Amino acid sequence: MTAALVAAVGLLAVATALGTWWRARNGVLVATQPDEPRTQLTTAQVGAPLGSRLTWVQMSSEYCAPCRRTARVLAALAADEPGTAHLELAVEEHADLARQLHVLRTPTVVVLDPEGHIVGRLSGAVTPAQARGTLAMIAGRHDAPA
Amino acid sequence: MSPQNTAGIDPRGPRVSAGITAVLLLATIVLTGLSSPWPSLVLLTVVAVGFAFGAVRGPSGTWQGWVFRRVVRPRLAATSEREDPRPPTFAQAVGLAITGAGVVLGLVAAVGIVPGLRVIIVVAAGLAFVAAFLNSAFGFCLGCEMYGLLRRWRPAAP
Repeated sequence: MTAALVAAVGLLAVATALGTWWRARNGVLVATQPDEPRTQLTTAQVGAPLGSRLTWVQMSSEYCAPCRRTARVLAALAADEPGTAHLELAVEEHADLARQLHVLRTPTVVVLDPEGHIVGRLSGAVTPAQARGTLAMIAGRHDAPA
Repeated sequence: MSPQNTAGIDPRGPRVSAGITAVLLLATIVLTGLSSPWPSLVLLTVVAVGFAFGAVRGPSGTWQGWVFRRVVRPRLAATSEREDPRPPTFAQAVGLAITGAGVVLGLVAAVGIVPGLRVIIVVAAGLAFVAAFLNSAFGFCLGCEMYGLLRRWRPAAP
């Protein structure tokens, strides 16, 4: 019985550690490092005009509930914050871009500055708080009534 | 983006069901400590049968789904969020594959063809437990992720 209980407790601990690690990675901004090349995306590549402060380029796939949630969060924030744009692209239809950006999981959101340089990316579902934090960090605060 | 099914299931259903399943799988592992391995094998079979219903009828078609609708959801605030049922249905099939293999190999071990009945049950229940627990506690659906990757690499005909 001891072995069985140890196995059960051990599995619970391992699963909790895995889940905590996975959740901690979701929606976290990974900024482009100074020594990394600053890839630039064009309007032609993403199919729509860029935002004047920041553009969220979300790479999504079809059967992906976190993609739907992230799209709602970013679209709402883009509607609220002038100068920001949200573009959602299907990896099925933009396979070349997905490959160029090394998109491994969906959603992956690539964050562009006003010139289209990739300044960071977020993998996994993005919460409103994470999106606002990224916007503040990259594009600075826009003083607006709460 | 191509249009999605507008119909969908309450996304909290599969997570609550996974929570119930995770508790049962943990109990399955604890039961292997008894002097008889049969209770744990029976419980693993119960869980596998649940997955079989879910693989065919979707996560709402399981008894855990029934418990969610009748007992849990009335106590929750309403939500307009809906999710595509196909990925969680595939996840049920993945659960069936793991626990079903455990049951089949367990029976084979029970009649003496291969040793290690308890180990087989613990491994099968353990793998399924981790997936079910991650789903219910953290919202990470392993089977859903597998379904997404499969459809990206081998798209089915529309």
